Amino acid sequence: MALPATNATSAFWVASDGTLWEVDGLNGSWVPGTTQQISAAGLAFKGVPSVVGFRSNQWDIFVRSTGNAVYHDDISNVPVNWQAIPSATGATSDPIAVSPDISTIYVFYLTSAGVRYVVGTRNTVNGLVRTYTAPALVPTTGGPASITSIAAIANGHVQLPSAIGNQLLYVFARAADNGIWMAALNGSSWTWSQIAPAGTAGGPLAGVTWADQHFDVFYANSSNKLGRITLF
Amino acid sequence: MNRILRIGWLVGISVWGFAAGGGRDARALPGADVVTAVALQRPYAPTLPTIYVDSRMFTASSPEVAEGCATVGTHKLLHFDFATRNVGDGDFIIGAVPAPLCTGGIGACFDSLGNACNKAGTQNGFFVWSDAHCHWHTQDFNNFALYRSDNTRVNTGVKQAFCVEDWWGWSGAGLRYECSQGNQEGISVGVEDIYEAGLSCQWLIVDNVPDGTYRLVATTNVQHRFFEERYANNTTSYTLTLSGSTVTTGSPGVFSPVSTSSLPAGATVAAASWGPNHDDIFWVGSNNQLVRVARDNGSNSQSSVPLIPGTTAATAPALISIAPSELEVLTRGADSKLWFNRFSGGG
Repeated sequence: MALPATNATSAFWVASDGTLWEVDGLNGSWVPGTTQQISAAGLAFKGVPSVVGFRSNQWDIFVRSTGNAVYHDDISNVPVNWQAIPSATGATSDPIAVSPDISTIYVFYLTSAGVRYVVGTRNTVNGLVRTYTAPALVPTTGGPASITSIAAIANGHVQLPSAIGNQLLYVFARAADNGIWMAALNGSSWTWSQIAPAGTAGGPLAGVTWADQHFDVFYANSSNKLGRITLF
Repeated sequence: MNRILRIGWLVGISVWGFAAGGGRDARALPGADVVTAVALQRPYAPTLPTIYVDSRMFTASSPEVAEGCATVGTHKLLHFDFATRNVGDGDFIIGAVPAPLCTGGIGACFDSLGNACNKAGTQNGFFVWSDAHCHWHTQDFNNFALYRSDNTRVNTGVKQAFCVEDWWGWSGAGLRYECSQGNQEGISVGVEDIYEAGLSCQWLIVDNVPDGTYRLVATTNVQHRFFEERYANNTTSYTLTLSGSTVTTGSPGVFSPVSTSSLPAGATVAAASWGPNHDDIFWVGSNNQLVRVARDNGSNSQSSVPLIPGTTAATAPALISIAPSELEVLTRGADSKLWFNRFSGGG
């Protein structure tokens, strides 16, 4: 069993045989009998899925196949509909999906060339995501030479509805030298900043939005203590 | 166009366009979408500063005093560029510009008798007259404010009137909207309007603001007076450090080590927030128990979160807040079952 990934009322995980499973929660408890396989025959996944909630009973899940392609399904009141995101292949990390506003989802994943991403557009009527941009590379200029893992956050979350959607989007990268970097999206351009020197990180990064336009990045540091970087 | 010196931060607006007549559903029409940006280096003016601090003295006759963006006396000013970009697929239309009350230009605005105009603040619909810029502005169009690292506001901010017009076709689009009479204020698709740092009133007063790191927050179409495809992308922010009369940018991170017990080497942490100013961080400790650090308004408390007795965590946790003051954590137990714990009321 891989790690579960959660959204508001469900948890998802990849089983050791590559199938993907879901269990539903309701009002803070888990509903007996709702554990179900939601992957399709012939598909095998690995790693930790990433889920973006949209509205009640509708959300989007992204997961890496054993062939390192990025797949998407919208979990809603329709049958499963797994799609390989066009050209999103060669992933060396699990995908990370974040939604900076109600109509778009950014899906990031590492490749040998660096951090790539696709942008999915939501149909304004049914909320379904069926179109994606071609994979783009977060420009490597000014960024770390080599990246071992990434995290990503957008401004706002369920607790901060007023902040949702002003399109602040950050990708955090743990570099091979354990420095910590941040790529910020402003308009259509990316800017890298090194936010912690080499040797800082001792584990993967976790980002969280704790107030409107205030962010924390947590990690196990090189001294095996909890490290924190505040961004605002 | 009668503005001078422009560079900018960028903000965007997204507006559904309305067309006169036709009886069509407005939402079927292309939508304008404006976003804002601050202190972006414009490609056509790469050597101009985009953000700086200086001091200026204002007298009772200064147009900026009549305008309400300064009081009499000497003030320390934080100047910055500001841009409003239409990223939608329809024009962002303000409306027809009224006849001017005076003539001239920025810093030289006179009435028909050749006297100083002295009509600042005169309203005409949603337009307000500017003596300082000698043209009609769209009232309370933008808002600027400075915030400390703890998210408290340094000053009350400025609701700035704005002459909304096409200034730079970032997408290659042509320029059509102008502030002058006989034209319409607005922003075409693929165009942005830019207020450069050097423009009168394009500042925040930072008298007695201590040296330190701050966040400048800019919002356009503040009151949603002008319909957009979406309003959620109208705010942008910019981190800066003030030190005396200098201002530097690009200091995004502030290290704040958290005092906790040791983590297992290479531990994966999970983090979520159940409300403003609250962080929760979980990981699997060396005894395979979940460890929780709750950060409430900057202070930490650490606790161990046992699963069902006899069961330990086998994988890093997943964490989610599904409602205010609610937190749910899940992990795979050593028994290969999915384990869950819920924290309510922030506790």
